[in-house]
Amino acid sequence: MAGVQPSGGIEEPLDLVRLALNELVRVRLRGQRELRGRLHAFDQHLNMILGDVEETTVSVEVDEETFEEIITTERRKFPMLFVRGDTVVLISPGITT
Amino acid sequence: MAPMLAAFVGKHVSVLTLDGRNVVGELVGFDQTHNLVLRHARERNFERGAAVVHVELGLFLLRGDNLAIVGEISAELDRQTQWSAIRGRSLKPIVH
Amino acid sequence: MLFFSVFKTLVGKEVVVELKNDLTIRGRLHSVDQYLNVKIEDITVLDADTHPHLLSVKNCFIRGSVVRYIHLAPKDVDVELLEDATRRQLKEMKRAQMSASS
Repeated sequence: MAGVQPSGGIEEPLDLVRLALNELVRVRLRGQRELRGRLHAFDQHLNMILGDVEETTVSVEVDEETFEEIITTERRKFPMLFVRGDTVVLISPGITT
Repeated sequence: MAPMLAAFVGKHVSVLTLDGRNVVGELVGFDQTHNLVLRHARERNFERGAAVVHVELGLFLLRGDNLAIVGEISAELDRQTQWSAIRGRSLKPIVH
Repeated sequence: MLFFSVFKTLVGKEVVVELKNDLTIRGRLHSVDQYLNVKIEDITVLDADTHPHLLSVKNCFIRGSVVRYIHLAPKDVDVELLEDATRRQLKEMKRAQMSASS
């Protein structure tokens, strides 16, 4: 991106992620998956390593008889997780809870 | 570094594809795009609750784009496995 | 190349590879390449009752692009080292971009 700024500032998208290193982040993945955890490493593909991760998966099934939508939420925990970047939709830094 | 599939050439392998198929056969060769040549190959179909069905495929090339896993079959473990008694279900396709 | 280096340090360690078709494979990391294709030894499939496909397989090659997660043991990972390596790699990328555009 254009513009020279002092080092440590935000010049391009990955800088936002760099500032989130060793901080809690929320990562949205394809397929209604969301991760919360501490960011320990990432690269330009947004491959990542997260610590103390909680994954939330939301799935919607339609009841065959009543056509009601049944929404189920599944939660899993992982102490240390490598996440392949090609499923990452967004990363948001600085969650407090 | 030697390509990782080199150790499997001449061996009996079980291949899983992106669309969830399972093919077993002898790995004759491969290239850098993971195209595989298999011979004496058969497809194993797992349907929920039903016995495993084998379909003969013979000699063919599998395009690398469709490849998910290549497993080296251990003759010893294969002898211990009663495929006729196995009930599984088909694999989901890989969703990127 | 950061994660290629990271996984090279994990060779011989126990990992759990979760694929994008929900198949989950536990085993020992044997090798990795720059595309993060991996080879796993002495595997067990975690849901082998419903997924018996790899019952007679001991060692397997997994294409990097079908991996969703690789579960690691925290004791095998030095997080400070990772964070430093991430910052260093980012700096190198920027320097390369600068010299390419000037």
